[in-house]
Amino acid sequence: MTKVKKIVTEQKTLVFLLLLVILMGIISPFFLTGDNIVNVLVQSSIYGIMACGMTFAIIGGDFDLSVGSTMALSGLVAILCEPYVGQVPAMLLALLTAAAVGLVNGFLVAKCRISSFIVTIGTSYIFKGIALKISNGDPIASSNPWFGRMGNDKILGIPYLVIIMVLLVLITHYVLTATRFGRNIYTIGGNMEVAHNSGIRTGFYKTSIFVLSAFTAGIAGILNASKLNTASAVQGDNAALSVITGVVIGGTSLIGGVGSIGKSMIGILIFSVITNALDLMGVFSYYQTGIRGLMLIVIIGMEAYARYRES
Amino acid sequence: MKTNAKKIIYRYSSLILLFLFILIASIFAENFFTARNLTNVVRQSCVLGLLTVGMSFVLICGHMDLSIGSIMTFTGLIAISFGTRMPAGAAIACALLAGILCGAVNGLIITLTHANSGESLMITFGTQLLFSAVSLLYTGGFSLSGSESDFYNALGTGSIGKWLPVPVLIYIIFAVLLWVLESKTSFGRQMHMIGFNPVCSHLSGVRTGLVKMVCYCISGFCAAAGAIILTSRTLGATPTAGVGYEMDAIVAAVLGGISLSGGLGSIAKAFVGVITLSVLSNAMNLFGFQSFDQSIVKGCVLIAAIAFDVWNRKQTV
Repeated sequence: MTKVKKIVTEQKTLVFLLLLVILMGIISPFFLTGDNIVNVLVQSSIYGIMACGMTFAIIGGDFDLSVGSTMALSGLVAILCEPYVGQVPAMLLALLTAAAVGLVNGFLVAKCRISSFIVTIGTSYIFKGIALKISNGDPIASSNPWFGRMGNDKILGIPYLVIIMVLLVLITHYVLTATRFGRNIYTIGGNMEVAHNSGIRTGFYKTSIFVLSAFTAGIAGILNASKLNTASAVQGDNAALSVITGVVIGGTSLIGGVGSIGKSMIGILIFSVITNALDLMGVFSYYQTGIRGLMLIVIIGMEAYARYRES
Repeated sequence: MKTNAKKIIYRYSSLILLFLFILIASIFAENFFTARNLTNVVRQSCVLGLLTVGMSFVLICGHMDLSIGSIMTFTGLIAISFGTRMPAGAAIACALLAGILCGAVNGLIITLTHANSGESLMITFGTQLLFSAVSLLYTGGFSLSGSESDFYNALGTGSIGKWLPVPVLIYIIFAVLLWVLESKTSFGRQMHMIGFNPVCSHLSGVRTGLVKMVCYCISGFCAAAGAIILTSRTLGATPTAGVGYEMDAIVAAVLGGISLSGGLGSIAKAFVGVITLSVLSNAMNLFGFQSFDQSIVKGCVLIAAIAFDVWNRKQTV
């Protein structure tokens, strides 16, 4: 009994997700069908991919609010450059652009020592402006039929999107748990000064956190553009806060030093499952916004209170 | 002498930035430094100004309020829709009360759960979603057309004499009252203490929960006041009117020199930050910049200002 209690308190969010899935399985006969489960996974894939990079950032004790702009920018680069250089080089260019955005963020945070919250608000203005400029504010459709297939095709019934997400999650998990790089990021997030004094090159790690975050946002941007066969500068508008919400709900602390990609994915999945469930039940989208808000308040509030009780 | 100069530069860096912008704008845009345009600049800064002043109270406490944009949307809808059923004055009172209530909801949740700075960010993001859902449900997603009361419409569009717009007068009155509250009362001092060190101030007998709660109420109240001016000026309320205002308010506060980690800042700084942002966008409009370019310039200015501030602090300390 105590063992069960321990698991429940330690894995609150996982238990919550499972309860949600069971409850929905009972309420709606469509929920636990293969098609719908794949659907939920596809819905969570774009934010799931971004959550990989964001988890690095938040464990390292930083925010990245610019992922939405990065996502929009890289989607546009992948489509706009295609007629000139071909699809694969265009996608590589898009990833390179994203990495460059991350490098700018990283430089400003690590070398100029500005708070990441302000830096990434600033760069999100800048890169959204650039995205609007290169697209002239219009949505741009892809002219290459192969491009759109990437975000919509399936292999053995599993969409590429889901496969890419799972691969990225596994890589992130490996890097965070089994490499020196991952361990150092936990150290930096836990205590920057201690990390610095024990010889960790904090500048390098801070910069790479932002490069990773922007890079995954770039991948998400390309895939999102491919899924819709269109890129537009406003595609990532709500992405940053949604991804951060998912990561934080999963139990990765905003203070830094705590968390795992598994937890982040649980958070992202909770949101997709709820959206999917409310859609299946035919709940009006305005109510959905409200329910998402309430859930966020309850989960974060509970966590804050639990932390207060502990200390 | 040299250190003195440095100290002055550090102390007034945001004012210097403002003067720099005014100088550049006056040299390169011939119609910038005219009474008509300057009135325009101030008039345009009113709504954001009220929001930023309110947000500053929360920021000084070391917290964050992402919900002010949607509080503004919600209270704007209340003011306009109640205005059809009751006198304008009563509708305004209801809207202001609704703003305070929304702020109290934020404050209550954050106080009861003992949320820290990051958690308050997420919680107010949650209430942002909640309030915007309430606004959308309230009108079913439709916009409301403006008030028919002359008094109400004068609040946003009227002017006293030739050069004093009513919204500016309202903004200045609120800003001065809140500046007194922030800088001259024991409440203001307690607020700064909490932002500086919440544990210490709790141990020394400051009722931290109550102070934070009042700060969130002030933030909600200011959002409602901004909403009344906005709906009066634009002759209508839409359920998405306040989207994005919370980020602009944070940017303005930061440009004015308010620290996001709490304890540092004043209402005067918020005022300077808002005017700076307003001068910047007015100048860019006069130069004929497109909105894309304006966004890029705004981001660059924000980062440059903060980078300078951080560098400056390193030099002086």
